[in-house]
Amino acid sequence: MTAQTDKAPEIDLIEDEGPAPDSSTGGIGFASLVCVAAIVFLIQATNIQTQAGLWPSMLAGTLIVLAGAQTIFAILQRMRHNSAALEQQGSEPFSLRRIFTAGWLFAYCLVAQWVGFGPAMLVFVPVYMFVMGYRKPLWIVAVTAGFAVGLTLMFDTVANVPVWSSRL
Amino acid sequence: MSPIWEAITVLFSFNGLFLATVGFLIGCVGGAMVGIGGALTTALVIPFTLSMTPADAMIILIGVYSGVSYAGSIPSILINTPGGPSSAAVTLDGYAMARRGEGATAIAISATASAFGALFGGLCLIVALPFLEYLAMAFGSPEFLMFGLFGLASIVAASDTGYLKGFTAGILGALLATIGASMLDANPRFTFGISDLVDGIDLVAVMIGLFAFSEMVRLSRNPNSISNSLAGLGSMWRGIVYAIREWKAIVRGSGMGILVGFVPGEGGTVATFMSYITEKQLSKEPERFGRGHPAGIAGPEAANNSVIGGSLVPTLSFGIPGSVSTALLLTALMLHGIRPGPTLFTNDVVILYTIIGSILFGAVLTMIVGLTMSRPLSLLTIIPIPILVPLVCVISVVGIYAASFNYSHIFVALAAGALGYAFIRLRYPVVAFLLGFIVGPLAEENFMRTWQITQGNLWEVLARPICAVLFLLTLIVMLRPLWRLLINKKWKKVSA
Repeated sequence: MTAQTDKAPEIDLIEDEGPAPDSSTGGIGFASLVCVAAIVFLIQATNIQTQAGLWPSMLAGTLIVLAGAQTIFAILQRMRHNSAALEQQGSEPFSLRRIFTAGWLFAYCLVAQWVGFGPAMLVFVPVYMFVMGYRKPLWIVAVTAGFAVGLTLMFDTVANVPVWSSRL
Repeated sequence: MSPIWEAITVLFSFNGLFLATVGFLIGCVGGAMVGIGGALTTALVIPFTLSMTPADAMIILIGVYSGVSYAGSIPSILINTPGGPSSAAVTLDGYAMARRGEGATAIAISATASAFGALFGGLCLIVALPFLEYLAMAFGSPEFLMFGLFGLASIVAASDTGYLKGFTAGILGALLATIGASMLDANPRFTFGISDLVDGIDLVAVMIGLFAFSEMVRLSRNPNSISNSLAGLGSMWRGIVYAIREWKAIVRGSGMGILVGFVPGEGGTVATFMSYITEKQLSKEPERFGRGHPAGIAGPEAANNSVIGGSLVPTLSFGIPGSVSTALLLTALMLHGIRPGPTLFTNDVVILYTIIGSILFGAVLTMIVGLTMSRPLSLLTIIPIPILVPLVCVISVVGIYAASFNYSHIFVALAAGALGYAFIRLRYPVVAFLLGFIVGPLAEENFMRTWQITQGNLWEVLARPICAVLFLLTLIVMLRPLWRLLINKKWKKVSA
């Protein structure tokens, strides 16, 4: 992870990577997962005795065909081309930053339901900023305090959300 | 009190003007921040509107929409990075002007053209309103069903990710929307024993997860700020003069925006590029395009903002959103218990006029606020990502809870965020998924009614003229790319 410095960094405008190809492991995995989910929905829908099962059965049936076709095309494409080259094409370097962001957000959501949004935020924000390379202690404190005030004003005062209470 | 007068009273009260201005400023902030964009900004504001009256909610949301539509061009012009896809066309000549020290002039052209475009769009909506009512009244369940299919087909065809992925995303959205109590017999479907799913999947949670969480995870890879370059001076007044000189480009762009906005899925991006190409073709000096020609900013910006009025036509009349932002406006309407379609023209006329009034007021704000705040707004693009990400995440999490006071919705949003990220990485269109999720329940209701009307023989609906026309349009939309492919192949053969 890159440290945040006082020096103005280069503009990182093209930070996004190309999409993963359909025939990558992720592409095939996702399409087949959708297909499996559609099969589960179809089985459940056919068990509904009333007309309430008709619409979801049609949707699930169509989705099986679409996601199934997507999976088959992707597998065929992978067999036709070099699979290693396909994995490389458009794939990004392993991004710890993204994994940390997703994991830390999940942790915040888990913890906030026990300790409250505000107290959890007091840990979530400064730790996130520090881990992501922000190295200005005064700013970290100021931003966290600003968040606390903003959260209280926006949600506690306006929307009656008990931001600082653990009883959600 | 007549509905128009009532809407004017609501909009021009202190509260109405305050909300419209706040909404516009929030929209400017979101629109000017590259990577945040209109959809995410609107999604973040919706939870705050739930405790408001429907009219107040629409005033602030239309304000956000207007602000976003205008402000997306600020980073396009100053740092060559569009705030959203629909602002991409402006980079071509806007950034060229900024580089030669006329950034503020370019922003002034953009603000003037945007204001005119929004005004034109709003006025067109007023002119179309009486006809919309009759059109909406002519629509029964079979027509709504066919229009829903047409809307989905248009959005899938407009996306550049291919039919298979487009339809997969749309139908997945519609299928997930069936989770929860059935509207036919109130029996729970697909809850898998989870009691929190009996009420269905929360729309606000899905929306915030799809747009905010996935985008924050994607952005977090960048260790710096979204951008750290500010450029551009020049004269605001010169920009206004340039814009007035390019009035023909503005009028043409506005017309294109309106027409493109009518078609579901063909959002501002298509309109702006169509306008840019047209202006370049019609210009006496096409070689100046791409080097800072005012018409290259004025036309696309007018088109981008007149789309607001145009895309609200299918949204309000049939409940088929014309773009992501209008899909979110539709969500907000439905969360306030207001259903688009014929009932909107009879039961909620005040809301309708409030929306139109807000668009017109948004045009005025674009001119005033847009010109004065353009430079301070562009400072937002230099907020470091390590501050931006937790800010958006915390607001999103608490916002989801505030919308329903149900903590399980936060985990639904996390799941939707994971799905949204997978969609981004694998290039599945998120808009098609969202449209399927929103239109799904309405389509099911109309499907079941049509099923009962036709006693299971759905082909009978083609005997109804509107249904037949919509079916034909759906076929055309579906076959258009195939036709283009054939023509291209034939052309290649001939040229070879």
